Amino acid sequence: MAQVSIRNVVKRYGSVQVVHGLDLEVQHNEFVVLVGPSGCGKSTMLRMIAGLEDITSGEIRIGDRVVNNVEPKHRNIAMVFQNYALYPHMTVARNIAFGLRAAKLPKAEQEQRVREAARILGLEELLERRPAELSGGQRQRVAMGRAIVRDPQVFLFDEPLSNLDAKLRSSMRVEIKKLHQKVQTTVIYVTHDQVEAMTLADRIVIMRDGVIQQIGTPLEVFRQPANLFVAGFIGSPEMNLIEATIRHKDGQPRLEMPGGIDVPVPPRNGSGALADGRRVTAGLRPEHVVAGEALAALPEDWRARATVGVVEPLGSESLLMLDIGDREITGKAVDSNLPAPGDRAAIGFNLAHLHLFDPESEQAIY
Amino acid sequence: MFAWRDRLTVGQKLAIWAWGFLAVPVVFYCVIRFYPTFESFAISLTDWDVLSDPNFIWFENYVRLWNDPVFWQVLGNTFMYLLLGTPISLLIAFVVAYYLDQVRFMHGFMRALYFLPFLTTAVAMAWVWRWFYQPVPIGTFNNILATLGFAQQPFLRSTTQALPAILAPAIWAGLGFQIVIFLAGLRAIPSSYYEAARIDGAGKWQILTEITIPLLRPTVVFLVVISSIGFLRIFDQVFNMTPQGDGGPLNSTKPIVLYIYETGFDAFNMGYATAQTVILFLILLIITLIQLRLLRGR
Repeated sequence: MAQVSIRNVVKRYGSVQVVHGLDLEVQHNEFVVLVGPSGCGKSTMLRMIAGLEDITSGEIRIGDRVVNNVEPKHRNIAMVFQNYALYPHMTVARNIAFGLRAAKLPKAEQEQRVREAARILGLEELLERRPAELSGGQRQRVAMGRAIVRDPQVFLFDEPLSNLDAKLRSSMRVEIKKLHQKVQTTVIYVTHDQVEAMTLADRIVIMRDGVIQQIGTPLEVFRQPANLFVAGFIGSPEMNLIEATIRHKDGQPRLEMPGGIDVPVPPRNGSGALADGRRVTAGLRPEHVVAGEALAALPEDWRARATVGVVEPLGSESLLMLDIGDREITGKAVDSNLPAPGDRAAIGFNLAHLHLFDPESEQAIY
Repeated sequence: MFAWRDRLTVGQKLAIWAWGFLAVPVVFYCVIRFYPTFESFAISLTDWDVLSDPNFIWFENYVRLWNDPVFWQVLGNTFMYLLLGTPISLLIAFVVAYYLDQVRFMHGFMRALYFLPFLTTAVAMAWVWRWFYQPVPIGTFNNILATLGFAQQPFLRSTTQALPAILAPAIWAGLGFQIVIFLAGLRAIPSSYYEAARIDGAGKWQILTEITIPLLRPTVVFLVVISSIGFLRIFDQVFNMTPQGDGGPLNSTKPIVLYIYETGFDAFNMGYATAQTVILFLILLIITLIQLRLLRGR
C-alpha cells in the first residue's frame, strides 16, 4: 500500500516562497494530476516528493514513512522526466536495466524484468537500439519502462508528454492510462495541459502560485469550479466570464449582463444570498451559450439576442463569437444552418449551468 | 544589364563568395604551412649544412638515425614524457574538475587559481621549478625533505629522477586548461541524467562510470589528443631546467625536439635535423589518428 500524504509543505528559495503550505492525500493506486500554469509550483512539489528538492517545512509521507530526509533512492519511487533523461550512450535494454544494476539484481532477473517491461510497453524490437535511433513516442515509452521495471510504490511523471506533437500526445495519453490500469500503482502526474489532466486523472489538483485552488475529480472541477481561476483554467474553449449585476425583480434575483441582457438566476443553493445590486462575475461554458435548434430546449426568458462576430465550424459543432455590449463571448451551435457574421441572432443561456463568482474574493458563490 | 550575373545560379554565386573569403587563409596556409612541410621532406634527403649547397644523398640521414643511439634514447625519453604526462595530467585534471564542479563557494576564484599556471610563461616557470629542485638551503623540496628528516634527493642531477622532475611543471602548466575543458564537459551533461540516476538508486561509482565518464568521451578525446601532442613536443621545460639546456644529465631528459634543435641550430646539420623532424611529424600523425579512431567509438 502506498498512499502519499503531503502535510503543510512549504518550499522557500532564499526569501522567495514558491509553495505555501500544501496539503494533499493521494490514495493507494490513485492517479492524481497536479495541473497549473508554469511557475505554479507543481513541478517543485513533484521534485520534493521525489526527494530531488528539500522541503523547507511540513511533512511528506510515502506509505507509513516520513520521507522528508530520505534519499530519493530509498523512497521507492520512479520518475519519468520531461526530457526522458535517457542515457544516450546506452542501448534501450541497458537504459531500462539501469536501476536494476544499481540494485545489484542477478543478471538473469534483470533480463527477465527488462523483457517483461518491454513486453508491456511494446519495446521488444527496440531493446538493442540507442535513444538517438528512437522516435519521441518510443523514447517516452523507454522512460516509462525504466520506471516500471523497478516496481516502485509511486510513479512520478513530470510533464512527460510536453515534448511530443499533438497527435502523439493523445495516443501516449491513452498508453499511460492503460499502463496505470495494468500496473496498478499510485501515480502523481504533473502537467500544464488541462486536457491531459482531465483525461488521465482520478483526481485533479489545480495549483496557482504555490497554492492549491481545488482538488476534485475531473467532473467535479469541471462542473463546480471553486473559484474564477479554476473556472477559467479547466475546460476548452474557456468558460465565458462576464461582469454582471444582481437585480431583484418580484423578489427573484436576476442577472443583468452587458448588452442589455437580463436573465433570471434559477433558485438553487446560494441564490438566496444574492443581494440586490451585488456585482458578480457570471460564468457560462460555451456549450451553455447556444444558438439555432438548441434554443428550443430552453425556457423563453433564458434567451436574448447578440451580434455574431466570427463563426468557427469545427465539423460536429461550430463556435460562435458573440458580441454582447462591449464583451465578446463564445457560444456553440450544432446545426448546419448557421447565422452569418454580422447577424443579430437569437441566443440562449442554459442557466442550469450558471456559475457566479465574487469578483473580489474570486470564490464561487452560487 | 546585369544579365551576366543571372547566368550563375544562386548556389554558384554563394560558392564564389565563399571561396573569395577563403582564398586568404588558403593561400596563407599553403605558403606558410604546407609548402615548408613538403620542403622538409626534400631537405631530409640532403646533407644541407646552411653554408654550402645541399647534395642529394637519398635516405642516408634516415639510415644514420637508425644507427644513432642518441636518437633512440631521445625517442624513448619523448615517449616517457607522453606516456607518463598524458594519463597523469588527465587524471589529476579530471579529479580536480569533478570536485571543483561541486564546489559553489568561491568557484570562480578557485578556477582562476588553477588556470593561472597556464597563462604563465613556461620559461619563467621552469626557472622557478629549477630552484625548487636545488639542494638545501636553496631548494624548497629538499628543505622540506630535510625538515621532515628524509635524505636529500638529487632531482635534476639524477639520471632517473630528472625526467619526472621536469615533467612535473609541464603537467602543472597544462592542468588549468584541461580542468577548464573538463568543467565545460561536466556542465554540458544534463542534470536530469543525474536526477534520474539518484532516483533509480545509483551510487556515486555507478554514476561516475556509467554516466559521467562515458558522456565525457568527446572531452577526453580532445584532451588526450591535445596533451599528447603537447608532451611529444616538450622543449621549454627541458631547455630551461637542465644545465646548459642540454637535456642532461647524460641525455636522460632530452626529448626529440631538443635533439632536433641541437642538430639543426648548434651543429647546423640541417639535413639530419630535418630527417628527425619528419620522423616526429609521422609519429604525431600516427598517434593522433590512432587516438581519434580508438576514442571516438560510435
